[in-house]
Amino acid sequence: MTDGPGALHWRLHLDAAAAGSWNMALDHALAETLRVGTGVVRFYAWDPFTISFGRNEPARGLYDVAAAGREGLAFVRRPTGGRAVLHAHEVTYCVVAPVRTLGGVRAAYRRINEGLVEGLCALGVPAEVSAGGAALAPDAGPCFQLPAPGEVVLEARKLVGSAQVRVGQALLQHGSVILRGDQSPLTRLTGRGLDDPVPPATVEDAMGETMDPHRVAEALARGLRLALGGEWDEGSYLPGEMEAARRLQGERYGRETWTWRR
Amino acid sequence: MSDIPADLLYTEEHEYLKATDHDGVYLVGITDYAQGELGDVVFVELPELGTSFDKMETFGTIEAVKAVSDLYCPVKGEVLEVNAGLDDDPSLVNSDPYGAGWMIRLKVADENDLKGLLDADAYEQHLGG
Repeated sequence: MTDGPGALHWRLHLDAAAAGSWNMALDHALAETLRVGTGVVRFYAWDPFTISFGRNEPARGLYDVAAAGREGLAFVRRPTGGRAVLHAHEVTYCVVAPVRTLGGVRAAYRRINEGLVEGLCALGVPAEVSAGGAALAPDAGPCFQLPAPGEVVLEARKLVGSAQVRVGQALLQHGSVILRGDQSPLTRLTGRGLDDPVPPATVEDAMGETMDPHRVAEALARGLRLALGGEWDEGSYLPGEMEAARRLQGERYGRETWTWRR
Repeated sequence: MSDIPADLLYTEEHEYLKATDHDGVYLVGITDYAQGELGDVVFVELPELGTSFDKMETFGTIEAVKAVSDLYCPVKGEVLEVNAGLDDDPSLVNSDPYGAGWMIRLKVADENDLKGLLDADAYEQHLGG
C-alpha cells in the first residue's frame, strides 16, 4: 500500500506570470521529471492572457483567432483533460505528485480540492466541494459553465476549474481560481455556449474587495499543506526540470499543430 | 471487488490482452479496476489502423471527466482494428470493459513477449488483493 502524501517532501514555487506555452510545458515537465518521494506545488499567472483547451477538446475552426488577437489573447492546449478556460485575472495552481501516493486520480482530486477549500475558507471565501453534477465530454462547452462532481464551488457556482493528467507514475493536477471577471470571451469568440450561462463565482465577489494574487496564492498553499501533509520548503527548479520544460515548449506547447490538433 | 477474468493477460498499467479466434491476434483494453479508478470515461483517442507500437509504447489516451491517462501497448504489435463504437459511446469502457469496451485489435509481433505479462493471479496480487 501507499504511504500517503504526508510521506512526501514537497517543494513550493510562487512564480511570476509567463506565456501559456511555458506554463503548460513547465507543469508537464515537473510531472515528467518527478523524483521518488517528492511532490511539487506551484502557483503562477498568465502573460498574455490566454485561452487554454483541454487535451482532447475540439477547438480547430471554432474560434475567431483574429478577433482574439485584437483583444491580446493567446491560445494554448493543455496536457490535461477538461474544457476551455480563459486565464486572465486568476491564480493558477499546479500540484505534481506520485499517483499512488495520492491514492489514485480520484482520491487525489478530492484531496487537492479539499486543500484549496481550506485555503479559500481561511481567506474568508465560503467555498465547498460540489456534491453532484454531470460527467461532461470534452466538447460540452467552456469549463466554467457547469461544475463537475467534486469541484470547488461557491453557492453552486464554479469557483475553481481543475484538470488532471497522469504522466507515467506522476499525477499532474492544475487549475484556475478566478479572482475577478467572467469567461464571456469564450462564448463571444466561438458563438457557442449555453442559452443561460451561469458565470463563474469569483474570489473578489465573495470578499467584496480587490485581492492581491500573491496573498491568495499563499493562502491556497497553506490549505494544500494542511490537506497533503509532509515536509514543505521553497526551492529552485532543477536543471533537468528546466531542460524538459524548454523541450516540451519547443516540441509541443509552443506549436500551432498541438494547439489546434482537434 | 474488481472483475479479473482468469483467461486474460494483464500489464501493471492495467491494460489487458484477450485472445481472439485468430492466431496471434488479441483485443486490448483497460481493466475493470482501471475503469473504476478513472470514473466516467468521456473520450478515448485511438491510433490509425496499421500503426505499429513497441512494448509499453503509448497507443492512445483516455479521458475521464477531467483526468487524461496514456494507454500503453502491452506487447509489440500492429493495430488491425480500432473500436469505432467508443467514438459514439466511450462509456462502454465503464459498462463492459472486457467486451464492448475493447480498444484495439492487435497483431502481436512475437508471442514469446506474452510471457512477460501478468496472469490473473499476478494481476490480482499487483492490485493488492
